Amino acid sequence: MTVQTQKAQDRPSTDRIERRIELRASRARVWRAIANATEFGAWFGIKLEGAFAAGATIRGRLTIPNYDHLTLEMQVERIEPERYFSYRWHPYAIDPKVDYSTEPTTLVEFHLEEIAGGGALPSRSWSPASTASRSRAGRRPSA
Amino acid sequence: MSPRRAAAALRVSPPEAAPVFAALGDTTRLGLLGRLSAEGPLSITRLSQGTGVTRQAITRHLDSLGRVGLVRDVRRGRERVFALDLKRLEKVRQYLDHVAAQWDAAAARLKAFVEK
Repeated sequence: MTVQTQKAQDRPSTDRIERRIELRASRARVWRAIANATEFGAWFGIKLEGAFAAGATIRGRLTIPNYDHLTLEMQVERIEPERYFSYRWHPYAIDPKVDYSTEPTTLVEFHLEEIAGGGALPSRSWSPASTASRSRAGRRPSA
Repeated sequence: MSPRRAAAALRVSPPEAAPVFAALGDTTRLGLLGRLSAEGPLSITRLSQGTGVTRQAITRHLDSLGRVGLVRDVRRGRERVFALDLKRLEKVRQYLDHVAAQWDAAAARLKAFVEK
């Protein structure tokens, strides 16, 4: 598996996490695994109630051992079929007694692309873009 | 022929780090941190000298840095003396490392899931 961490690259990113993985599967297959709520849940470890749709908020209970008492809420932001999927949530909302709804959310984005011939990965320039500023700054999460 | 390989890039922007980086996103404030780093603790008077920025403006910038924990101040007589405090930056780093480790595990599960 090829996982490039930003640490190994020229421009270290300290306010976000970026990973790139190469998958031996078609783009359509990977897209389904990410954008279909049931499939997403199968590998991520969450049993989601409902389907992903832009602007939709769906809940699910984690199925990861030791975390399976927790319910998380995902706010789907943008869906561009087979290319881009993003959502927001509180990834470390680990105390069921705490109301995290007023806490700032983490933006999670998936970018998909094909790899021609399975050779070298096409270079992709990340625009530091608006992700940091779009993640609402505020109090630090209590997690 | 349909492509049999795809790359998925994942980007996660935790809010934890945002206030610190917002505080850093200003040339005056970066300059102040640079001087505190090079010269050690300094008074507002010293920090204002040669900047062309008013003492009040410098104070506001130092307060912004103080709110996110990048500097701390102590009173020395009638003056406030500011010093770097990088513990906050280190905490942000640790938080990001923790979130990154969780996502590395999730990425491995995604790979196993689509390649089976």
